[in-house]
Amino acid sequence: MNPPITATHVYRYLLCEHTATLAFHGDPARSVAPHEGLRLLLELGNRHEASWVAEHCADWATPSYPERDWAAGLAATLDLMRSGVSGVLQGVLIDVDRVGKPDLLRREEGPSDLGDHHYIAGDVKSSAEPHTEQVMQVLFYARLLELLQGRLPSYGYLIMADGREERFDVTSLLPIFDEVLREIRQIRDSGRQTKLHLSHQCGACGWRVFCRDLAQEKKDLSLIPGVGRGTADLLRQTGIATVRDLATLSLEQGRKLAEAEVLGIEVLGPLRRRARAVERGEPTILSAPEVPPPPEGIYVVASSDPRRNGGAFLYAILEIDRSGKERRETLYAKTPAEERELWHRFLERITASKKGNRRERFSGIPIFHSGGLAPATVEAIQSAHGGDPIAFERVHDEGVDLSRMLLRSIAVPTPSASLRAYTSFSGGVGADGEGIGAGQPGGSGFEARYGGPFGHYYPWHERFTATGDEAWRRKILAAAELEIEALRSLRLRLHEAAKRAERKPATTTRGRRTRNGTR
Amino acid sequence: MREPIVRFLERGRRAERRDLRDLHLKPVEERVADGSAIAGLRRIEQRGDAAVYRIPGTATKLRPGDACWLSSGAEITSGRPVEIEEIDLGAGVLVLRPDRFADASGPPPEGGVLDRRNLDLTDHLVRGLEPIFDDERGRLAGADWVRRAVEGEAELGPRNDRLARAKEAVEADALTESQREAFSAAVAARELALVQGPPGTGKTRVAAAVVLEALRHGEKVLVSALTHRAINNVLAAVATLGEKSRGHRVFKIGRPHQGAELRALGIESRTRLQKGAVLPGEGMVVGATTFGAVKLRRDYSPFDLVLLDEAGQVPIPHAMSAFAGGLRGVVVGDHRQLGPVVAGGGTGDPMERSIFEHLAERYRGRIHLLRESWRMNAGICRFSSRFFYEDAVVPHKSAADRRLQLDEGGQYRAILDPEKASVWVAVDHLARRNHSREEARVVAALVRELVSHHGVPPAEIAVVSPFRAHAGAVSHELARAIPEAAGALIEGLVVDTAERIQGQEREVVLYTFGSSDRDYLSRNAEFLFDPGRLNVALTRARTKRIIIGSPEVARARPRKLEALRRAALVQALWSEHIPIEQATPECDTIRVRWEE
Repeated sequence: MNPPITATHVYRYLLCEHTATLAFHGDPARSVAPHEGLRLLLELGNRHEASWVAEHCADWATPSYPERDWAAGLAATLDLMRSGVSGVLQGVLIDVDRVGKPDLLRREEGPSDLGDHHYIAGDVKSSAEPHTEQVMQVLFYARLLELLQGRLPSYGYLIMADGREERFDVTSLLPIFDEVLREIRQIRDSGRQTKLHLSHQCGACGWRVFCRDLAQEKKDLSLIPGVGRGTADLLRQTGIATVRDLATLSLEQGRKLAEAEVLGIEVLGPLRRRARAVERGEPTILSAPEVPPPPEGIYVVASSDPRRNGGAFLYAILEIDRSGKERRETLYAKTPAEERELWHRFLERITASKKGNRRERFSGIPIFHSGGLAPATVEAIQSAHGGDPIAFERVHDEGVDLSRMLLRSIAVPTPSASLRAYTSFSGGVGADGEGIGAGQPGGSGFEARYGGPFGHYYPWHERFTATGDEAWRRKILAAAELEIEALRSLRLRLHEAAKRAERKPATTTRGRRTRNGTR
Repeated sequence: MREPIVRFLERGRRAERRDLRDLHLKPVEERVADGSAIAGLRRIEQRGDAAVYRIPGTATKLRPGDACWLSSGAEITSGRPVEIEEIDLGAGVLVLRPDRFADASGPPPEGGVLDRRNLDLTDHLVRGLEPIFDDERGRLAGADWVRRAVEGEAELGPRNDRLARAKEAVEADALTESQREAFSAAVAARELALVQGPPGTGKTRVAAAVVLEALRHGEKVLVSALTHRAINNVLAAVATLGEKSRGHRVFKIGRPHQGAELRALGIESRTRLQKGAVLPGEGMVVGATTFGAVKLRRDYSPFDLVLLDEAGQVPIPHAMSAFAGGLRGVVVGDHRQLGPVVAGGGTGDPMERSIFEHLAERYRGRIHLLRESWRMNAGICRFSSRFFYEDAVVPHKSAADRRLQLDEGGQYRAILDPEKASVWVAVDHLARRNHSREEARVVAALVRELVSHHGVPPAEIAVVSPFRAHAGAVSHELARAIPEAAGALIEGLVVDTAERIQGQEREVVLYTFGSSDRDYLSRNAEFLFDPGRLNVALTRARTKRIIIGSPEVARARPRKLEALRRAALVQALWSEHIPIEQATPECDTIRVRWEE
């Protein structure tokens, strides 16, 4: 008998379809435990759920049944639903080949097979915004409710990190969900083939080591940054199935592919160069990076709470002046209440204050970061906390995202062009040791989720603010120092690359305003 | 109120500045490929202060009215600031004028590279809004109603004297029931009226009727919008319908090329309006953009009525700036079509919405919807009515059963069958991002048959795509499939994006997605599947709509909930089209798989 499909299968399938193949046909022994960062996040999610439920679901009921006896769980859940309780926590919904355990089943008025009421499914999540995979989990429950209570819920809902409820219409989204379920069934029952494809989603997956090793062994196309699933499928159709196949593509072969309209030369060219970088294990210049010459610069590692707009709690700063003199400072907010003052201090620190003549001294010094000072991020922080508008505009306009520059300019021999991945290739020690060392695949999605490429800033910060244990703060500060050094190193390498490409680094448009204020 | 508006405008200014700076850092070749620059200009003629240049015929995003730099291509912002007056890619000709506000002396450059330039009017706009921010000034200027309107507290109810006027108005004679109801509400409203005009429902007709009625009573009317095209449409309708308005004055504020089509109707464009252009008690209509309206206010404030058209595309601050010149407002638009273009948007700031969407939410249930579409037949109208207008829009009886007129035969009869108002042609391809040669060839084959076999005039066909690159690919394939495409025979055939085609209609419209890379579709779903863009694209056709797209389009699964909702809309559109093998004879929306 086929194992049941769960909402977790649906969740993971939407992040990577290959998880379904591995879940139903792979060797469970090859799946690894979550790494520290993910574990911390999962624990945070559990605490958030427990806290929210304690506050909002005091009179709800939880079905009692022997562990993993789903039939008994269903019976207990239906008993509670028929009795009309306000809500059911962790109820069990099953069908022939599906098992679901929604966090929340909330009673609503309106007839069903249960009586004059019915239930709506919801889940508690610790993300700031709803994601499709979370929505599809709730639709999974909605389809089961339709069978069990004889009525399709009109909506589903998610409780987000800030406690707000996000509702969504069920009917309009069901066709997409039904298609997803059909595909998963095909994989489980008729062995529909899926292919592994390394991506930024791998960091949170238990199969990441298995897939990474297999990809390395097969020299899979997904080892090349910029090759998405669609492009990989297209290339495989033409017989290009490995890194080597793409790296050794001749100009003539490329022209034939372009003439056959498989992929244009403008796409194949850079992809081939990226493949060569991976094949040789050496970075390759794609285009000369526009990076100001050293040593002058301000390197910033900034980290925000992903659950809140404007919730930046860390600014680690290394400032190097023209003479090479260094000054370091770390600004860290222990509580959200301190973040406003932190931002103001950061702005003052990073640019001129009105007191002295620091404006002249620092004006034009480039500010380097790896995404922590992205325009949208600093806009959100400024909206939340205000601050010197001139200083804010300098940070907004003149911040240089070295990770983006790396992605544009250099073909790196790692599956991701993130700072973490590049540094893991070029050498460096991460705070937790994971993913460090030549050839280890990094994950920019991991970084986005955890707030930094080297440490697990956000979950560590949450642990520090919750417990006051200084060990967590020390980890954050140590990791930030490492990331600062990685930024400095990356800037130097990009500058070297620019010189090798024999192109003058662009300084012409910085600090020079024209009549109408454009640069 | 001031703070959120100024913050919104400043954010837009920063985003534009940064985007332009990043763009200017790219090599010339990349900027040209991106469509934001034209290289290889060569001056061939001088016409007064306008210089005429020869240009290569490559596709570009630059349009007449755009502010640009003409430089060597390297030190862009040291070049000459110019404005594009005309651009004709087919003839390879570009006409540039010096920027009015710049101090450029000396002869125009002989050649160079043309790059996009920011025209930062933020400060001008904020100055225009100051009377509204200042309670006392606003009250003195009669503009205090604007704040009430935006805050949801305007008086929408009718004034009895004006209601009586509306009932007697001859302008209403030729209107349908819903048009008449909207007309009466607009004429009679004390401070504000909202008229929602879905595609083809005659909102321009209603707007013109409201203006004419006001003129008849000696009122001063400002017709405003974001674009000259929208203003010109209303003024043209006023002039065309307004036999009874003869003797009243109609003005357009702008440069001559911004009102060229109005000249034949006796409306001249002027860059400014002299005080005393009309006598006291004489009615007057002035058309000016929301920016132009600020300057106008110095001499002609307050207007009795400000009619704001295409309000679904006007940002809130821009609308307020136009309203500040008047004593009451009529807002005409549709927030279910294309929305405003906002630099630095996507932040969730409510200011990013259009004025129409904002007011529609504030005054829910008090919007006057024009319900009959004169444009689309029943098969084409159905999807948009259901998914964007809660089934409230119906085809007018004169349009409902209209059919495309074709000759017998043809290779693609199943697709072009006039009885099938809407057809999805499923074209298999993989990993295409923003253009597909496969779909472009299908479009070319179908257009060739329509024109060459069935004699459908090219001016009655439009091809719409979400991507400029795909529109370019389609044009390329059309030129190959129909050699005469470069000549007069194919003149009038529009191949463009939805943004450029809003407001227009054709007998036959082909909408081609041009994308099949599922990851790309998912990442770009919010843009690609924007409901306003989709609605505009799907409602341009009168009798025949052909959708060309890979099945992958209907299988996109973006990560964000809002993008997922949009993807579900496309999935519904796909499902609406029944596979031809399963369709009954009565079914007028079918799906056909393309086979070479």
